[in-house]
Amino acid sequence: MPNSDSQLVAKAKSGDRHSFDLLVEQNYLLVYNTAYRMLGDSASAEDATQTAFVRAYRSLKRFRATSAFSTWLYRIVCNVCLDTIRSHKDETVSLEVVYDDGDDPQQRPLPDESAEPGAYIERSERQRLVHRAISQLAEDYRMVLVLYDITGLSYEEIAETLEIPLGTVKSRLNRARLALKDIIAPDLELFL
Amino acid sequence: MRCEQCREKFSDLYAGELSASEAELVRGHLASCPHCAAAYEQFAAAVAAVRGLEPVVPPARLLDDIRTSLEATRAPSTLAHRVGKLGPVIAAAACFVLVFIGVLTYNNYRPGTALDLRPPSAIPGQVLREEAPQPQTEPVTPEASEAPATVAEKAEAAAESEKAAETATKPAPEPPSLPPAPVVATPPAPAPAPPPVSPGPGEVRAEQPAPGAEGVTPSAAASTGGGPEAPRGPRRAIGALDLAAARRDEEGRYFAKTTETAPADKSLAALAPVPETGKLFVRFIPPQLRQIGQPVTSAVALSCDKSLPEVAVRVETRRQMRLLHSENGYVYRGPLTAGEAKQVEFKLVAQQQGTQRLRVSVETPVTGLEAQMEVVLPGFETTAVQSPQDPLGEPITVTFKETPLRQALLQIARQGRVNLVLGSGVSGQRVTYSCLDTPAGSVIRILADADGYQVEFQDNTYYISGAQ
Repeated sequence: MPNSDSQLVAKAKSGDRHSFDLLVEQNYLLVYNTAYRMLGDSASAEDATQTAFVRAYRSLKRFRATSAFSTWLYRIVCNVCLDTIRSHKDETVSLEVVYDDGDDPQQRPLPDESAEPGAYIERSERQRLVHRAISQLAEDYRMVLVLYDITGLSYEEIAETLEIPLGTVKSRLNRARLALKDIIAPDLELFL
Repeated sequence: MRCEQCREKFSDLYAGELSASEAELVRGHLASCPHCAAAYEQFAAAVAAVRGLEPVVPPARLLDDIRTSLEATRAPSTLAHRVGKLGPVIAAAACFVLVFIGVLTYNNYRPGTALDLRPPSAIPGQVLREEAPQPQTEPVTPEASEAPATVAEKAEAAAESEKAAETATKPAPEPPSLPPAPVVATPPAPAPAPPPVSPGPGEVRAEQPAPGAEGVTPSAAASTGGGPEAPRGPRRAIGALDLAAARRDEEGRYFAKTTETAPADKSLAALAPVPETGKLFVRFIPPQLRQIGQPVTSAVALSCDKSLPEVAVRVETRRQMRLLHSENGYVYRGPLTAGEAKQVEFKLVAQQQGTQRLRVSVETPVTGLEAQMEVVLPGFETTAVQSPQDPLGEPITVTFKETPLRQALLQIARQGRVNLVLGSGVSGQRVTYSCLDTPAGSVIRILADADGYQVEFQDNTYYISGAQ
C-alpha cells in the first residue's frame, strides 16, 4: 500500500531521507508543471522545482500537519516562482517555447513565420498561444489561474497557499480569465 | 444588471456556482446584450483552452538534479564544518582561558593590587614599590635600580594581557557569507545606471554603481533604462569563490555557485585586485556571411576602464545553431586590461535556414558589472549570402497588444530580417501597436523612440540600448 503524504512527512521529519525522496517523486511532476506555467520556460521551471524541494527539505521540521503537505509545498513553489519573476522583471524575454503535443519536450525555437508564410495551425499552435498568453498575465492573476485551472487546487486551498481571502481568490481568478480572453482574442477562432 | 456586474459573475456562471436568482439575472443580461454574450463565449473558450493544456514532461534529468541538490543539502558535516559551528562556543571558552591566564599573570606580578593600566608616571603619588605588599618584605636596595623598568614592564605586560583578554572577548569573526548564488541562468535585471558619457554605436556599457547608493541595482548591464530593483549584497572577493566547483558546474555559470564549506581559492589572491567600480563596454560584431552548414565568424569587443583579473564571455545558442570550440559556451576567460580593446572571436554554424538567435553574456568578478545581449541574425541560407544590406529590412505587418517591448522588437527583427542587438537595459515595458507593410527598421525605431531608447545602426545591425 503506497504511503500517504502524511505518513511520509512524519517519517521524513524524524530523519528518514528515503521518505522525503518518495515525497519528491510523488510531487515533482505537478510542481514542475505549476512552475513551468507560472514562469513560462523550462529552464526556470527546473530551477524553481529544485529550489522548492530544497527549501521544503530544510524547513520540513517547521511544517505542521494543520494543512496538507501539498498545500504547504505549493506555497513554497509559489514563493519561489514569485521571487524568480520579480528578480527577472524587465529582463530578457525567453525565446524558447515548448510544444505541448506530447512529443519530445525539448525546447524548440519559435517557428520562423517568414520562412513558412502559409503555416497551418495545429493543436500544438493552440497550446503555444495559450501558454504564451498565460505568461503575459500579471503574476498575481497568473498564479491563481495556474493553481486553479491547471494544478487543480480548490478555492480554499489556493486561499491557504497564497494566504489571501477566499473572495480575493475568486475575483482574481475571474479577472485572470477575462484578461486571458482578451489576450487570445485575436486568435480566438482557433478555440471556438 | 450592468455589463461590468455581469462579467464579474462569469467564473461563477461557468462553474455553476450562482444561486438560481443570480443565474437568472446573468442569463437575462446575456440574452439582451450581444457584447456580453460574445464575451462570455470567448471567456468559456479561454477557460477551456487553459484547462486543455497538456501536462509538460520535464527533462529526464530533473529528478536526478533534485536528488543531487538534496544530497548537497544533507552532506555530512566535515570536521571543519563542525568546528565552524562550534566557533562561538570555542571563542567563549578561549576568552575565559585568556582572561584567567591574564589575571593570573598580572596577579603574579602584582599580587593583591587592582589593575591600573596607566603608565606609572601618570599615577599620582605612585610609589612603585609600595604598591606591592610582597616586595615590602624584601630588601629594597637590590631591587631599587631595576624596579621602575620592571614595574613598567609589568604594567605593559598587564596591559597586553588585558588587551589580549579584550580581544578574546570579541566574538570570533564568522566566515564571510557570500550572497546566494543565482539559481536561474537568466540574467538579472538591468540597472538604472547614470547616463552614458559618450555612447558608441552598438555599445553596451555597464557601470558598477557607487556603494551605498539606494535603490540602485548593482546587478547587470547596460547603460541606461530599466527600473530599480533590490540591491545585491556586498561585493564578493574573487578569492572567496570556489572556482573549481564553479568550473565543474554543469550550467557553466562562472560565478553562479559557491559553497560555504569549500575552502577559499587562494590561487587568485596574487592577481590584480578587483576594483570596487568599473565601466564595461561590450559590442557585438555580427557575421557578414550567412550560410548554413559553414562556420561563420562573429565577435564580441570588450573594454573596461579598470583592469579586471578575470572576465568571462559566454555565448548561448539555440538548438539549430552550434558554437564551435567552446566549453559550456565560454568563448573567453581571461584578464582584461584597462583601456585595452579586446576582441573575442568565435565561430558559429547554423544548421537551419532562416533567423538565428543567440545570447551573449559578459561576466566579471565585480558584483553588478556584467552585460547581456539578445542577438537576432536573420538571413541564413543554403548559399552564402551577405548580411542584409537594406537597413530598413523587409516590410512587416504586426499587431501587438500589451506585448513586452523586448519580445516585440525581437519578433520585428525576425520577421523583417534585420540584425538586432538588444542591450539588457531595454526593459519590459508593454506596447500596443499595429502596422501594415511597414519596413521593419522603421518599426524598430518607432517603438524604441517611443520609450526613449537609443537606436544606432552600424554594421547592418540595429543596436538598441537604454534611454538617456
